[in-house]
Amino acid sequence: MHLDEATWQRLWSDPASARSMLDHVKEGCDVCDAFIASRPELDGEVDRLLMGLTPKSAPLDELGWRRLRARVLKAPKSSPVAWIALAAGLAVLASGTLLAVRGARQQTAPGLKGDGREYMPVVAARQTESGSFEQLPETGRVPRGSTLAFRVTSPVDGPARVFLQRGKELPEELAQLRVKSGSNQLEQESGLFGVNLEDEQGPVTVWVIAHDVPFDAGQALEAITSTSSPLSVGRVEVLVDP
Amino acid sequence: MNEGMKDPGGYIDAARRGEEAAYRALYERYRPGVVRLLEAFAALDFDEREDIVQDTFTRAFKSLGSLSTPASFEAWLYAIARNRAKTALSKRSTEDRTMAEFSTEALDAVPPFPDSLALEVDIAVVRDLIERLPEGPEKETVRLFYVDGQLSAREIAEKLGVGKSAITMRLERVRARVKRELTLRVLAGKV
Ligand SMILES: [Zn+2]
Repeated sequence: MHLDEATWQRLWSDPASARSMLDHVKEGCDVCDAFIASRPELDGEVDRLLMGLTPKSAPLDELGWRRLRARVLKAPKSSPVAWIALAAGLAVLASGTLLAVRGARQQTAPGLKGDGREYMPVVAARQTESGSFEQLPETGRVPRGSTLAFRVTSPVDGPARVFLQRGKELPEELAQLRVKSGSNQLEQESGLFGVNLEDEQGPVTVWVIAHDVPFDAGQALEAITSTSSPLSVGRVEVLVDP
Repeated sequence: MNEGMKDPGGYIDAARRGEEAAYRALYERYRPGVVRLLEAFAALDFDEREDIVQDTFTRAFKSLGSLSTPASFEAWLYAIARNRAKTALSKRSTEDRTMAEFSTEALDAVPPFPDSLALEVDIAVVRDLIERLPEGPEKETVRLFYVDGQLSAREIAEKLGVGKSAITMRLERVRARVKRELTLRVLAGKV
Protein backbone atom coordinates (compact mmCIF):
# COMPACT_ATOMS: atom_id res chain seq x y z
CA MET A 1 0.00 0.00 0.00
CA HIS A 2 1.45 3.34 -1.12
CA LEU A 3 0.58 6.96 -0.64
CA ASP A 4 -2.32 8.26 -2.64
CA GLU A 5 -4.59 11.27 -2.51
CA ALA A 6 -6.79 9.87 0.26
CA THR A 7 -3.98 8.73 2.55
CA TRP A 8 -2.12 11.97 1.91
CA GLN A 9 -5.09 14.02 3.07
CA ARG A 10 -5.52 11.78 6.06
CA LEU A 11 -1.84 12.14 6.97
CA TRP A 12 -2.26 15.87 7.45
CA SER A 13 -5.62 15.87 9.13
CA ASP A 14 -5.00 12.92 11.41
CA PRO A 15 -1.38 11.81 11.29
CA ALA A 16 -1.73 9.46 14.21
CA SER A 17 -4.07 7.29 12.20
CA ALA A 18 -1.50 7.03 9.45
CA ARG A 19 1.51 6.13 11.51
CA SER A 20 2.14 2.93 9.61
CA MET A 21 2.18 4.85 6.34
CA LEU A 22 4.64 7.29 7.83
CA ASP A 23 6.90 4.42 8.87
CA HIS A 24 6.65 2.98 5.38
CA VAL A 25 7.71 6.29 3.79
CA LYS A 26 10.55 6.66 6.27
CA GLU A 27 11.98 3.33 5.21
CA GLY A 28 12.28 4.63 1.69
CA CYS A 29 9.86 3.83 -1.09
CA ASP A 30 10.30 5.12 -4.64
CA VAL A 31 6.57 5.13 -5.34
CA CYS A 32 5.72 7.17 -2.27
CA ASP A 33 8.73 9.45 -2.77
CA ALA A 34 7.51 10.23 -6.28
CA PHE A 35 4.07 10.97 -4.89
CA ILE A 36 5.44 13.38 -2.30
CA ALA A 37 7.60 15.08 -4.92
CA SER A 38 4.52 15.68 -7.05
CA ARG A 39 2.57 17.41 -4.26
CA PRO A 40 2.58 21.19 -4.54
CA GLU A 41 1.59 22.03 -0.96
CA LEU A 42 5.12 22.30 0.35
CA ASP A 43 6.73 23.78 -2.77
CA GLY A 44 6.98 27.27 -1.40
CA GLU A 45 8.35 26.14 1.93
CA VAL A 46 10.95 23.92 0.26
CA ASP A 47 12.09 26.83 -1.88
CA ARG A 48 12.21 29.12 1.13
CA LEU A 49 14.51 26.70 2.92
CA LEU A 50 16.73 26.26 -0.12
CA MET A 51 16.91 30.00 -0.71
CA GLY A 52 18.11 30.31 2.86
CA LEU A 53 21.35 28.70 1.69
CA THR A 54 21.91 31.21 -1.05
CA PRO A 55 23.78 34.45 -0.68
CA LYS A 56 21.56 37.18 -2.05
CA SER A 57 23.37 40.23 -3.26
CA ALA A 58 21.48 41.29 -6.32
CA PRO A 59 21.79 44.95 -7.29
CA LEU A 60 18.78 47.15 -6.72
CA ASP A 61 16.43 46.63 -9.62
CA GLU A 62 15.09 50.13 -10.01
CA LEU A 63 13.64 49.60 -13.45
CA GLY A 64 11.86 46.42 -12.42
CA TRP A 65 10.41 48.24 -9.45
CA ARG A 66 9.09 51.03 -11.63
CA ARG A 67 7.47 48.53 -13.97
CA LEU A 68 5.93 46.73 -11.06
CA ARG A 69 4.72 49.92 -9.43
CA ALA A 70 2.96 50.88 -12.63
CA ARG A 71 1.17 47.54 -12.63
CA VAL A 72 0.30 47.33 -8.97
CA LEU A 73 -0.14 50.94 -7.98
CA LYS A 74 -0.77 53.91 -10.18
CA ALA A 75 1.11 54.81 -13.33
CA PRO A 76 4.53 56.33 -12.63
CA LYS A 77 4.98 60.03 -13.08
CA SER A 78 7.33 59.65 -15.99
CA SER A 79 8.60 56.74 -17.98
CA PRO A 80 12.00 55.57 -16.79
CA VAL A 81 13.66 56.25 -20.08
CA ALA A 82 11.95 57.77 -23.01
CA TRP A 83 13.22 56.46 -26.26
CA ILE A 84 11.78 58.53 -28.94
CA ALA A 85 11.34 58.61 -32.63
CA LEU A 86 12.53 61.96 -33.78
CA ALA A 87 10.31 63.93 -36.06
CA ALA A 88 10.33 62.85 -39.66
CA GLY A 89 11.94 66.09 -40.66
CA LEU A 90 14.95 65.25 -38.59
CA ALA A 91 15.22 61.83 -40.08
CA VAL A 92 16.69 63.42 -43.16
CA LEU A 93 19.53 64.63 -41.01
CA ALA A 94 22.45 64.82 -43.33
CA SER A 95 24.62 61.86 -42.72
CA GLY A 96 27.53 64.20 -43.11
CA THR A 97 26.58 65.86 -39.85
CA LEU A 98 27.03 62.67 -37.96
CA LEU A 99 29.97 61.57 -40.00
CA ALA A 100 31.66 64.71 -38.85
CA VAL A 101 31.17 63.55 -35.29
CA ARG A 102 32.76 60.20 -35.94
CA GLY A 103 35.66 59.56 -33.77
CA ALA A 104 34.60 61.95 -31.09
CA ARG A 105 33.65 59.19 -28.69
CA GLN A 106 35.16 56.25 -30.42
CA GLN A 107 38.28 56.34 -28.30
CA THR A 108 36.19 56.03 -25.17
CA ALA A 109 35.40 52.40 -25.81
CA PRO A 110 38.84 50.94 -25.19
CA GLY A 111 37.66 47.93 -23.25
CA LEU A 112 36.03 46.51 -26.30
CA LYS A 113 38.96 46.45 -28.61
CA GLY A 114 40.92 43.25 -28.79
CA ASP A 115 38.93 41.45 -26.10
CA GLY A 116 37.47 38.89 -28.49
CA ARG A 117 34.23 40.60 -29.35
CA GLU A 118 33.61 42.16 -32.67
CA TYR A 119 33.92 45.83 -31.96
CA MET A 120 31.41 48.06 -33.68
CA PRO A 121 32.17 51.77 -33.73
CA VAL A 122 29.26 53.86 -32.50
CA VAL A 123 29.14 57.62 -32.34
CA ALA A 124 26.45 59.84 -30.93
CA ALA A 125 25.33 63.35 -31.69
CA ARG A 126 23.26 65.55 -29.44
CA GLN A 127 20.21 67.41 -30.63
CA THR A 128 20.32 71.06 -29.68
CA GLU A 129 17.36 73.18 -28.70
CA SER A 130 17.10 74.48 -32.26
CA GLY A 131 16.79 70.92 -33.52
CA SER A 132 20.14 70.64 -35.18
CA PHE A 133 22.76 68.14 -34.10
CA GLU A 134 26.10 68.80 -32.60
CA GLN A 135 29.13 66.78 -31.75
CA LEU A 136 29.51 65.51 -28.20
CA PRO A 137 32.34 67.13 -26.29
CA GLU A 138 35.45 65.07 -25.69
CA THR A 139 34.46 64.69 -22.03
CA GLY A 140 31.15 63.09 -22.99
CA ARG A 141 29.26 65.54 -20.76
CA VAL A 142 25.74 66.32 -21.90
CA PRO A 143 23.01 68.42 -20.30
CA ARG A 144 20.12 66.59 -18.70
CA GLY A 145 17.23 66.22 -21.11
CA SER A 146 19.50 65.82 -24.10
CA THR A 147 18.40 63.68 -26.99
CA LEU A 148 21.03 61.57 -28.68
CA ALA A 149 21.09 60.10 -32.17
CA PHE A 150 23.56 57.43 -33.24
CA ARG A 151 25.63 56.31 -36.16
CA VAL A 152 27.20 52.87 -36.26
CA THR A 153 29.71 51.26 -38.53
CA SER A 154 28.28 47.79 -38.54
CA PRO A 155 30.17 44.71 -39.68
CA VAL A 156 26.86 42.93 -40.20
CA ASP A 157 23.54 43.33 -41.92
CA GLY A 158 20.81 42.27 -39.50
CA PRO A 159 18.91 42.83 -36.26
CA ALA A 160 20.24 45.14 -33.56
CA ARG A 161 19.27 45.77 -29.96
CA VAL A 162 19.94 48.97 -28.09
CA PHE A 163 20.46 48.95 -24.31
CA LEU A 164 20.86 51.74 -21.84
CA GLN A 165 22.98 51.23 -18.75
CA ARG A 166 23.00 53.60 -15.80
CA GLY A 167 26.34 53.45 -14.04
CA LYS A 168 26.96 49.79 -13.33
CA GLU A 169 23.32 48.75 -13.21
CA LEU A 170 21.94 45.99 -15.36
CA PRO A 171 21.51 47.33 -18.90
CA GLU A 172 17.92 47.93 -19.91
CA GLU A 173 16.67 47.27 -23.40
CA LEU A 174 15.40 50.32 -25.27
CA ALA A 175 14.72 49.19 -28.78
CA GLN A 176 15.05 46.55 -31.45
CA LEU A 177 16.20 47.85 -34.77
CA ARG A 178 17.95 46.73 -37.93
CA VAL A 179 21.36 47.81 -39.12
CA LYS A 180 22.98 47.60 -42.49
CA SER A 181 26.53 46.61 -43.08
CA GLY A 182 28.71 49.68 -43.18
CA SER A 183 28.09 53.12 -41.81
CA ASN A 184 24.46 53.92 -41.04
CA GLN A 185 22.47 55.92 -38.58
CA LEU A 186 20.21 54.06 -36.19
CA GLU A 187 16.67 54.24 -37.45
CA GLN A 188 13.36 52.70 -36.74
CA GLU A 189 10.21 52.60 -38.82
CA SER A 190 9.08 56.04 -37.75
CA GLY A 191 12.39 57.71 -38.43
CA LEU A 192 15.66 58.37 -36.73
CA PHE A 193 16.14 56.52 -33.46
CA GLY A 194 16.91 58.75 -30.51
CA VAL A 195 17.50 58.31 -26.80
CA ASN A 196 16.08 60.94 -24.51
CA LEU A 197 18.05 61.52 -21.33
CA GLU A 198 15.26 63.38 -19.55
CA ASP A 199 15.31 61.28 -16.39
CA GLU A 200 18.96 60.36 -16.42
CA GLN A 201 21.82 61.62 -14.36
CA GLY A 202 25.48 60.64 -14.10
CA PRO A 203 27.26 58.06 -16.23
CA VAL A 204 25.10 56.43 -18.88
CA THR A 205 26.24 53.93 -21.48
CA VAL A 206 24.25 53.23 -24.62
CA TRP A 207 25.06 49.80 -26.01
CA VAL A 208 24.33 48.67 -29.55
CA ILE A 209 24.48 44.95 -30.22
CA ALA A 210 24.09 43.57 -33.71
CA HIS A 211 24.32 40.22 -35.42
CA ASP A 212 23.53 38.81 -38.83
CA VAL A 213 20.88 36.45 -37.44
CA PRO A 214 18.17 37.07 -34.81
CA PHE A 215 19.26 36.92 -31.16
CA ASP A 216 17.41 37.45 -27.91
CA ALA A 217 17.89 40.04 -25.20
CA GLY A 218 19.66 37.49 -23.01
CA GLN A 219 22.28 36.90 -25.67
CA ALA A 220 22.67 40.62 -26.10
CA LEU A 221 23.31 41.02 -22.37
CA GLU A 222 25.81 38.20 -22.52
CA ALA A 223 27.58 40.03 -25.31
CA ILE A 224 27.76 43.11 -23.10
CA THR A 225 29.13 41.31 -20.09
CA SER A 226 31.27 38.56 -21.56
CA THR A 227 34.22 38.95 -23.86
CA SER A 228 33.63 35.90 -25.99
CA SER A 229 30.28 36.56 -27.62
CA PRO A 230 29.97 36.22 -31.39
CA LEU A 231 27.74 39.30 -31.48
CA SER A 232 29.00 42.71 -32.54
CA VAL A 233 29.08 45.19 -29.70
CA GLY A 234 29.48 48.94 -29.64
CA ARG A 235 28.86 51.59 -27.04
CA VAL A 236 28.79 55.28 -26.34
CA GLU A 237 29.43 56.63 -22.86
CA VAL A 238 28.08 59.96 -21.72
CA LEU A 239 27.95 61.80 -18.44
CA VAL A 240 24.60 63.45 -17.90
CA ASP A 241 24.87 66.67 -15.94
CA PRO A 242 22.52 66.86 -12.95
CA MET B 1 11.90 30.81 15.12
CA ASN B 2 13.44 31.27 11.71
CA GLU B 3 13.59 34.40 9.65
CA GLY B 4 10.68 33.59 7.38
CA MET B 5 8.31 33.41 10.31
CA LYS B 6 8.54 37.11 11.06
CA ASP B 7 7.42 40.28 9.41
CA PRO B 8 10.02 42.50 11.09
CA GLY B 9 9.33 45.71 9.27
CA GLY B 10 5.60 45.14 9.31
CA TYR B 11 5.91 45.30 5.54
CA ILE B 12 3.16 42.84 4.77
CA ASP B 13 0.64 44.69 6.87
CA ALA B 14 1.71 48.01 5.40
CA ALA B 15 1.52 46.63 1.87
CA ARG B 16 -1.98 45.38 2.61
CA ARG B 17 -2.86 48.97 3.39
CA GLY B 18 -1.48 49.90 -0.01
CA GLU B 19 1.69 51.65 1.18
CA GLU B 20 4.06 52.03 -1.72
CA ALA B 21 7.22 51.99 0.40
CA ALA B 22 6.21 48.61 1.77
CA TYR B 23 5.69 47.16 -1.70
CA ARG B 24 9.06 48.46 -2.66
CA ALA B 25 10.76 47.02 0.40
CA LEU B 26 9.20 43.63 -0.23
CA TYR B 27 10.25 43.72 -3.86
CA GLU B 28 13.81 44.62 -2.98
CA ARG B 29 14.03 42.02 -0.31
CA TYR B 30 12.52 39.06 -2.12
CA ARG B 31 13.32 39.69 -5.76
CA PRO B 32 16.76 38.01 -5.55
CA GLY B 33 15.18 34.83 -4.19
CA VAL B 34 12.52 34.78 -6.89
CA VAL B 35 15.14 35.32 -9.59
CA ARG B 36 17.32 32.56 -8.15
CA LEU B 37 14.36 30.20 -8.02
CA LEU B 38 13.60 30.90 -11.68
CA GLU B 39 17.22 30.49 -12.67
CA ALA B 40 16.83 26.81 -11.84
CA PHE B 41 14.52 26.57 -14.86
CA ALA B 42 17.13 26.33 -17.58
CA ALA B 43 14.47 26.38 -20.28
CA LEU B 44 13.54 29.97 -19.45
CA ASP B 45 15.49 32.70 -21.17
CA PHE B 46 16.31 36.07 -19.69
CA ASP B 47 13.23 37.86 -21.03
CA GLU B 48 10.86 35.13 -19.94
CA ARG B 49 12.39 35.11 -16.49
CA GLU B 50 12.04 38.86 -16.05
CA ASP B 51 8.42 38.66 -17.19
CA ILE B 52 7.71 35.95 -14.63
CA VAL B 53 9.35 37.99 -11.87
CA GLN B 54 7.05 40.89 -12.71
CA ASP B 55 4.05 38.62 -12.95
CA THR B 56 4.83 36.93 -9.65
CA PHE B 57 5.03 40.17 -7.69
CA THR B 58 2.01 41.64 -9.43
CA ARG B 59 -0.08 38.62 -8.50
CA ALA B 60 1.27 38.46 -5.00
CA PHE B 61 0.70 42.15 -4.29
CA LYS B 62 -2.77 42.08 -5.76
CA SER B 63 -3.77 39.09 -3.68
CA LEU B 64 -2.10 39.90 -0.38
CA GLY B 65 -5.55 39.76 1.15
CA SER B 66 -5.68 36.01 0.58
CA LEU B 67 -2.45 35.41 2.44
CA SER B 68 -3.42 33.97 5.80
CA THR B 69 -0.37 34.95 7.80
CA PRO B 70 2.41 37.45 7.04
CA ALA B 71 4.87 34.82 8.23
CA SER B 72 4.23 32.66 5.21
CA PHE B 73 4.73 35.44 2.66
CA GLU B 74 8.10 34.26 1.39
CA ALA B 75 7.05 30.64 0.86
CA TRP B 76 3.79 31.80 -0.67
CA LEU B 77 5.64 34.11 -3.07
CA TYR B 78 7.95 31.29 -4.14
CA ALA B 79 4.96 29.04 -4.73
CA ILE B 80 3.47 31.67 -7.04
CA ALA B 81 6.77 32.06 -8.89
CA ARG B 82 7.11 28.31 -9.37
CA ASN B 83 3.55 28.14 -10.66
CA ARG B 84 4.13 30.95 -13.10
CA ALA B 85 7.26 29.27 -14.41
CA LYS B 86 5.50 25.95 -14.88
CA THR B 87 2.61 27.68 -16.57
CA ALA B 88 4.91 29.53 -18.95
CA LEU B 89 6.74 26.32 -19.83
CA SER B 90 3.58 24.26 -20.26
CA LYS B 91 2.09 26.91 -22.52
CA ARG B 92 5.19 26.70 -24.63
CA SER B 93 5.58 22.95 -24.76
CA THR B 94 2.00 21.84 -25.17
CA GLU B 95 1.08 21.63 -28.82
CA ASP B 96 -2.61 21.15 -28.29
CA ARG B 97 -4.07 24.56 -27.65
CA THR B 98 -7.08 23.50 -25.63
CA MET B 99 -4.88 21.23 -23.59
CA ALA B 100 -2.54 24.13 -22.93
CA GLU B 101 -5.38 26.28 -21.70
CA PHE B 102 -6.68 23.52 -19.54
CA SER B 103 -3.37 22.81 -17.86
CA THR B 104 -2.65 26.50 -17.45
CA GLU B 105 -5.86 26.94 -15.58
CA ALA B 106 -5.01 24.08 -13.29
CA LEU B 107 -1.53 25.38 -12.58
CA ASP B 108 -2.54 28.96 -12.02
CA ALA B 109 -4.17 28.25 -8.72
CA VAL B 110 -1.64 28.57 -5.93
CA PRO B 111 -2.02 25.50 -3.74
CA PRO B 112 -3.31 26.35 -0.31
CA PHE B 113 -0.49 26.70 2.13
CA PRO B 114 -0.93 24.23 4.95
CA ASP B 115 -1.59 26.73 7.70
CA SER B 116 -1.86 24.13 10.36
CA LEU B 117 1.74 23.07 9.90
CA ALA B 118 4.18 24.28 12.43
CA LEU B 119 6.98 24.93 9.99
CA GLU B 120 9.87 25.33 12.30
CA VAL B 121 12.24 23.36 10.16
CA ASP B 122 15.54 25.13 10.19
CA ILE B 123 17.82 25.83 7.29
CA ALA B 124 20.44 23.80 9.14
CA VAL B 125 18.36 20.71 8.37
CA VAL B 126 18.62 21.42 4.66
CA ARG B 127 22.30 22.23 4.89
CA ASP B 128 22.86 18.96 6.66
CA LEU B 129 20.81 17.05 4.11
CA ILE B 130 22.94 18.45 1.30
CA GLU B 131 26.16 17.69 3.15
CA ARG B 132 25.04 14.08 3.50
CA LEU B 133 24.52 13.69 -0.25
CA PRO B 134 27.10 11.37 -1.80
CA GLU B 135 29.81 13.24 -3.71
CA GLY B 136 28.83 13.38 -7.37
CA PRO B 137 27.27 15.52 -10.04
CA GLU B 138 24.07 16.11 -8.05
CA LYS B 139 25.91 17.45 -5.02
CA GLU B 140 28.22 19.52 -7.18
CA THR B 141 25.23 21.07 -8.96
CA VAL B 142 23.47 21.88 -5.70
CA ARG B 143 26.59 23.47 -4.29
CA LEU B 144 27.04 25.61 -7.35
CA PHE B 145 23.41 26.65 -7.55
CA TYR B 146 22.28 27.07 -3.96
CA VAL B 147 25.41 27.36 -1.85
CA ASP B 148 27.60 29.45 -4.14
CA GLY B 149 24.47 31.01 -5.56
CA GLN B 150 26.08 32.80 -8.47
CA LEU B 151 25.48 30.76 -11.62
CA SER B 152 22.14 30.03 -13.28
CA ALA B 153 21.22 26.48 -14.33
CA ARG B 154 22.20 27.39 -17.88
CA GLU B 155 25.58 28.66 -16.78
CA ILE B 156 26.18 25.59 -14.64
CA ALA B 157 25.33 23.39 -17.63
CA GLU B 158 27.93 25.24 -19.63
CA LYS B 159 30.52 25.02 -16.88
CA LEU B 160 30.02 21.30 -16.33
CA GLY B 161 29.58 20.54 -20.00
CA VAL B 162 26.18 18.87 -19.70
CA GLY B 163 22.76 19.60 -21.17
CA LYS B 164 20.88 22.36 -19.44
CA SER B 165 17.84 20.21 -18.74
CA ALA B 166 20.11 17.83 -16.82
CA ILE B 167 20.90 20.62 -14.39
CA THR B 168 17.24 21.46 -13.87
CA MET B 169 16.55 17.76 -13.24
CA ARG B 170 19.36 17.47 -10.71
CA LEU B 171 18.02 20.49 -8.85
CA GLU B 172 14.52 19.01 -8.96
CA ARG B 173 15.79 15.76 -7.47
CA VAL B 174 17.35 17.61 -4.59
CA ARG B 175 14.18 19.63 -4.08
CA ALA B 176 12.31 16.32 -3.91
CA ARG B 177 14.67 15.12 -1.18
CA VAL B 178 14.13 18.29 0.79
CA LYS B 179 10.38 18.00 0.36
CA ARG B 180 10.44 14.41 1.56
CA GLU B 181 12.52 15.35 4.59
CA LEU B 182 10.23 18.26 5.34
CA THR B 183 7.14 16.09 5.03
CA LEU B 184 8.54 13.48 7.36
CA ARG B 185 9.65 15.99 9.95
CA VAL B 186 6.40 17.87 9.95
CA LEU B 187 4.36 14.69 10.17
CA ALA B 188 6.62 13.20 12.83
CA GLY B 189 6.14 16.37 14.83
CA LYS B 190 2.42 15.95 14.61
CA VAL B 191 2.27 12.27 15.43
ZN1 LIG C 1 5.22 3.33 -0.88
